[in-house]
Amino acid sequence: MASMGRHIFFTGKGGVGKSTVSLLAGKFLARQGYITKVTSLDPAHNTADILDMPLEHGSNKISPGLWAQEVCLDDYLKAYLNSVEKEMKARYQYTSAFSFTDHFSAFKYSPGLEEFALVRAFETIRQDAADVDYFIWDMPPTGLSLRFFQYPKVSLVWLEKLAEIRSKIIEKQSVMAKIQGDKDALVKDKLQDSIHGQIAFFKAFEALLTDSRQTRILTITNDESLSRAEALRLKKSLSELDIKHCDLVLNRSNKVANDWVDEDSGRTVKGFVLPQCSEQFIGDKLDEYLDMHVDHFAIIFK
Amino acid sequence: MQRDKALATLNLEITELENVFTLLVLGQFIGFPAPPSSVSLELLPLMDKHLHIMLNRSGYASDPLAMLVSQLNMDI
Repeated sequence: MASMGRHIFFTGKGGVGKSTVSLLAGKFLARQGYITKVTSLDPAHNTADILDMPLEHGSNKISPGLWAQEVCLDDYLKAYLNSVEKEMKARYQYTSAFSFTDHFSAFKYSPGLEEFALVRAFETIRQDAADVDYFIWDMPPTGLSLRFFQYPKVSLVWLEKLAEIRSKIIEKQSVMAKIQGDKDALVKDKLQDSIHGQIAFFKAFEALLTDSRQTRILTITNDESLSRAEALRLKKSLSELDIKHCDLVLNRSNKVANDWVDEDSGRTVKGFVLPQCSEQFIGDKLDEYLDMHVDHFAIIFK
Repeated sequence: MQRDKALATLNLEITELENVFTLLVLGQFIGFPAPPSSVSLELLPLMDKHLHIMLNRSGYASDPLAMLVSQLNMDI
């Protein structure tokens, strides 16, 4: 059963401190008594490096109420492709005589499958953790993250068009059956069933991402122009996807104000400031490190 | 006679719609823009019949008029 827990995504340019802030945020929430799971979806993850401890495959208990996991996207991709391959082999049995199915391994390199692997990982972890109150997602750098957030919308555009064509086909097949004298003919269409199944999945996923009660996106930036420009661009792109609950976190800054002005647009952007959550080995000093920043996290999660 | 003609016309329409559907799902094979890979992969195992239709249709590509005329049983 899927958890009803809340989801917090930490996004931003590579190297701004997403993994460190994710772990500290997880620790902060666990201290408040919430069961919290920090999951790194970044293919180049370094959660284990920051904790200075090996992370086993699957969930690892870090401290009371706090769990961490590094996701191997390749594993999720392989599992999915194996299921497709199994289905293909069953349907196209004759190809096995020539070992043609070996060539299906190239599917792994299809454009777009990396973000689908992220979607699969996200869904699987969510389904497997019914008791988690907060899921913290340490996301990959901006480009891949954005494609992950866009995936439901892009898929729905295609699936709804395909469903429309199938409906026309089914309607015409029913007319044909009636002309042939079978008035109660019920046209069964496995393709339409599969399309509707996919539509239901992506609609639920999209609803989760756009619901500010369930999901929050915190984009980390540093006090320099490149990461700030990327954070603002990401915020704008997410807004176009109806994901409007995206706040900015200015990391490694000595500013004290919670709101800061975007110099390009001149607008005030709602944001939070963390003084020095930098990428480094925290090891077993997670508590000590959080104590240094606890007031800031209290503001972020007020 | 009229009934057969109606059925043949419907059949042709359905085949053409199936062909359009297949081109949308699997058109990446011939350079068309493609849906997200997962959408195609999910539907592909159910589309053995459709691959046959698409290949069959491509054989008529150079002479669509003759195919249409013969399907509709028209005398010219």
